[in-house]
Amino acid sequence: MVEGPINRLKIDNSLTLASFDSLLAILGPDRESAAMAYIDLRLALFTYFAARGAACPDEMADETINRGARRLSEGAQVTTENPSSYFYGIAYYVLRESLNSSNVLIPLSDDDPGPSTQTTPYDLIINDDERIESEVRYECLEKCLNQLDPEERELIVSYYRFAGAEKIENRKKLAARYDLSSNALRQKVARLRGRLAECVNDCRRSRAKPDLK
Amino acid sequence: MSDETSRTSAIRNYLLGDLPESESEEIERWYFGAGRGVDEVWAVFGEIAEEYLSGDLSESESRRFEQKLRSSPALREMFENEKALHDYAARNTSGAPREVKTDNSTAGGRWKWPPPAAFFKPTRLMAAVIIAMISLGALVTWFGLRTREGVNPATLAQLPNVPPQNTAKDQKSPESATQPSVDPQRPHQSRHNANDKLATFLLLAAGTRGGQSDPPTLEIPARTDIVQLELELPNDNCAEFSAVLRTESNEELQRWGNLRARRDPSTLSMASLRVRADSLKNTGYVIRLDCVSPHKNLGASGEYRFKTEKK
Repeated sequence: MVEGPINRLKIDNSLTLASFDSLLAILGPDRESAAMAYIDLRLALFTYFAARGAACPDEMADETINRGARRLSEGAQVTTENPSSYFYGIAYYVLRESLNSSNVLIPLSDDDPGPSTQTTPYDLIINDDERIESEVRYECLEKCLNQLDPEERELIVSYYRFAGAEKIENRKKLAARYDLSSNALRQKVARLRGRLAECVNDCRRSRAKPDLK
Repeated sequence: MSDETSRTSAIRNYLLGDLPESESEEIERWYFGAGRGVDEVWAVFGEIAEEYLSGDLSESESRRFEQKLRSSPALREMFENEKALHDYAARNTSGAPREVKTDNSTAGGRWKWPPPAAFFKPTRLMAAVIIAMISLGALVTWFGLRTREGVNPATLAQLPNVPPQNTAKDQKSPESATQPSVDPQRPHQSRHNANDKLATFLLLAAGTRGGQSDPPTLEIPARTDIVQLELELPNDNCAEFSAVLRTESNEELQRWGNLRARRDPSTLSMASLRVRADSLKNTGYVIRLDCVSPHKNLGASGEYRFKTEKK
């Protein structure tokens, strides 16, 4: 099965037990709810770094959480009602530091002729690589879909069926079947998709590692 | 406009990189604070990706979205996952319980190369190789005959004595006409009912482009359910296309997103799309093909004009 929240906690070595406890203490009244809040926080951080074009949003999310947890264990006080806002402030500086210390990805302007508009032998190689990549991704997706609960799997696959007016009609029926509003349905699917993406990315990484046997 | 609608619109602009910094920070503060805020952001991202894949995103939004994907490796990853999910759902529609009774097997029309690894099981692979060899032989024979007859529309421009309309009626590939498709290169076209009668036509780039005075006429045999159009691509510069089918009077009939270019055994670069025969009338049509590949190249788009004549 796709991992539960507690198992998905990734604790950096630099995070001491004290700072980890401080982190859990502000995230929830008990370990289970704190773990759920941790996942929500990490997802918000990932979203922030991804939308801002960071190359490694996962690592930066971890770095942000570690910094925040360390400060908490050193006596920092969270003054906002929602602890996530405290981490948003830290994330801002983590992003700025990364932009200052590395080469930034600069989007090409629309009229930049740029190398990507030319067909080169390198592009052909990339296309072959992309084909292999997409095959691996598809296999991983199938594997990850099979790890979902049957009802969740049926929901997400059904959600993507059809096109145009039939797609809209299908989604209305799905919302009715699962007793959700249209908005709640799309958010539920978005969350499922996020879990799938995490599983697919883990699967692809494990495939990419050389066989050490 | 409701708060929810304006927020969705702001998230959309945020993801397309169109929001000023202060408004971006406002959105970020919101999704860090709101319980389901992040889910809403990814829901909107999914919708943008869907619109992009189906060709429904405006040209300027498509450009901004591509730019965003180029500048954000993580978003690109999420987009690739989104594409894979679409593909999976499309391939698994025929065998799964259907939510809507009407047959939408032609809608969307997206398929993806390469097929999943499951396709490469030894028995299937052997069958595919045999079918591919038969298809190759038939195609080579057909092209040989066509060349000898001098009716390849692609060469018409150099043959002023041959009136284009004499050649246009024959753009049907004889070996596949009115037969269910068994082309091993397109496994998930099995979304169509196996009993559907299929008529396949090849539209060559040079003979069918806009500007020709007489577009080719595709003779659709009686009782055909599905018309499959194999479009010869103008060049090899693009891997992925969207397409729109319109009547000559500019009425839109169907759209496709995520059409993958493939190289046919005949060495033609082609993209394939399907239309329900009952949606076609005896009139003229235009297919607009646009490159949507992130590695977009110039000169990889074009128009294909043709007429249909139902028998």
